[in-house]
Amino acid sequence: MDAEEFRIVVQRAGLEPLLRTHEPDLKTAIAYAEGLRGALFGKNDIAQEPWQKAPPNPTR
Amino acid sequence: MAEGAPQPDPMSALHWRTASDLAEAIRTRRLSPVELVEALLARIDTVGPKLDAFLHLDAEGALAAAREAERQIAGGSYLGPLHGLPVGIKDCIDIAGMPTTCHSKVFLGNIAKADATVTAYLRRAGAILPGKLAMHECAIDGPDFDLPFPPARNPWNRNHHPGGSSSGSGAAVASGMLPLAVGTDAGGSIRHPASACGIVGLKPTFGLVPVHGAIPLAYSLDHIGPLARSVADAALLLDGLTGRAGEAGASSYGDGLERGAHGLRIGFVRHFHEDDATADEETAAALDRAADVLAREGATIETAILPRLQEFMAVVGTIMLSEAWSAYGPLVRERPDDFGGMTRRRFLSGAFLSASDYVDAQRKRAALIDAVEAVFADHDVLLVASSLCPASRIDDAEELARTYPRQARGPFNVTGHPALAMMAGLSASGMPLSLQLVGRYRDENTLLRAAFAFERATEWHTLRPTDTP
Repeated sequence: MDAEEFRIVVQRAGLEPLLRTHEPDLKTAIAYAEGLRGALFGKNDIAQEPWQKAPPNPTR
Repeated sequence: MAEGAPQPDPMSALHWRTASDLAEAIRTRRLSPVELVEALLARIDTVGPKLDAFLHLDAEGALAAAREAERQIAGGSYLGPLHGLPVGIKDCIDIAGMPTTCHSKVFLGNIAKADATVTAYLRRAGAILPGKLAMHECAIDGPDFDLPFPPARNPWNRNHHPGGSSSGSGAAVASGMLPLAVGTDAGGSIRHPASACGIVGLKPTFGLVPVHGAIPLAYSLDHIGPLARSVADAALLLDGLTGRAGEAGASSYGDGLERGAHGLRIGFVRHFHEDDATADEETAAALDRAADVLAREGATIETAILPRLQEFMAVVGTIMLSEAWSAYGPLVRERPDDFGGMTRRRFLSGAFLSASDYVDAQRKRAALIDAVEAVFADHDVLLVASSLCPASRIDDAEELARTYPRQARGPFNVTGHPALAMMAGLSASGMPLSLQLVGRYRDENTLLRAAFAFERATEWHTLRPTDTP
């Protein structure tokens, strides 16, 4: 997603006022929502979810 | 039992006795509610500062309620087994006259004008409500240090998290500060602290316990339920939360516990923790041992197959974040910096899900419910993993992010079936391991019966946290 696409997605969600102050949060939120949407349609297995990708770490 | 595990406590101290035992002592006037509350307040003084489980403690109010209970009981007005017992309340549920903050800056200064339905039920049954318990902010995501109050700690090891979001409820009960506490559960938030803290947590059937007076997270996923140190105690508090406690002639969720597991058909859902996701070896072994215990108790154990765990988790995530945005969106827009960063980012995700995403999730939810219902045609109870690994350190953000979502509780928020988590072992590092049992709709009695059979056949419930002796 390039900068313009990002701005449009945020604008459509009515969150443009947060663009300048919370850009990293918005990017994280969009990525998480995309991951869920992909998982819902079986396109991926909640790729944002670390539990899906990583085996347990017995050293911790 | 693991070699080197702590030995069972003699439980002679009042703060370690079960709610059922305390209730009987109060009923027979061998114990005064005042004596009990004084003992618990002393316990809170001792371990409370180490665990940060309370956000608001009304010691004087609790003592006044205890004196009133003592007067009533002495006068022959005994209201039932909850009369004179202290019950902690998660800080998203209203108690009239006390703060309800949801552990968030957003709600600082919010004083409840009226009781939630469940707190009114508990008062009517004679319970004492000493205060409000810590939680994860707004009942979503994990422990966060970016909030007006510190996060609750795990009594087994204060460097570890206690699960959540009903974190204070789990920590307070597991550490002996309270015999009973109330939590909420939209994606596992009662069962997670029960699993992490080695106690019993029950998410009842969706709709069984009224949620009026609790700040919502997700309208179609929210549940209220009990946390306790024994199965019988969880049943006792469920009586209170459903308004049965103290009702003349009412049946109890504790009825029939003694019947044991004999004859129960239990489906063991292995693929959640063996194939769909990988539980750590100790958790997987604890689940295998639990199946063996239940078989020895007379249950029939068969492998049960549900849809993949990932399908459930995608549905519960989409519905939860969509509904949470409906509830919290206006506040996030107006006061984004009054939320912790973790909560803010999670809520904002809901803004980027569409109406069609939500509808698709609800359609898929219907299919998942049908699939689970089909399995219950052949089984009375399901044995399922709860947490796929023990609680991690609370200050290790990377490990928290990796391990926190490793769970199999969300499926039963999607379907609304009653589900109970309880201790099923100790890890080599001394942290509780757990199991989850799931029942048919509105068949909490059979679910509790299976859990009681496991509890009676094992000693896990007799162990006490080593970090808060």
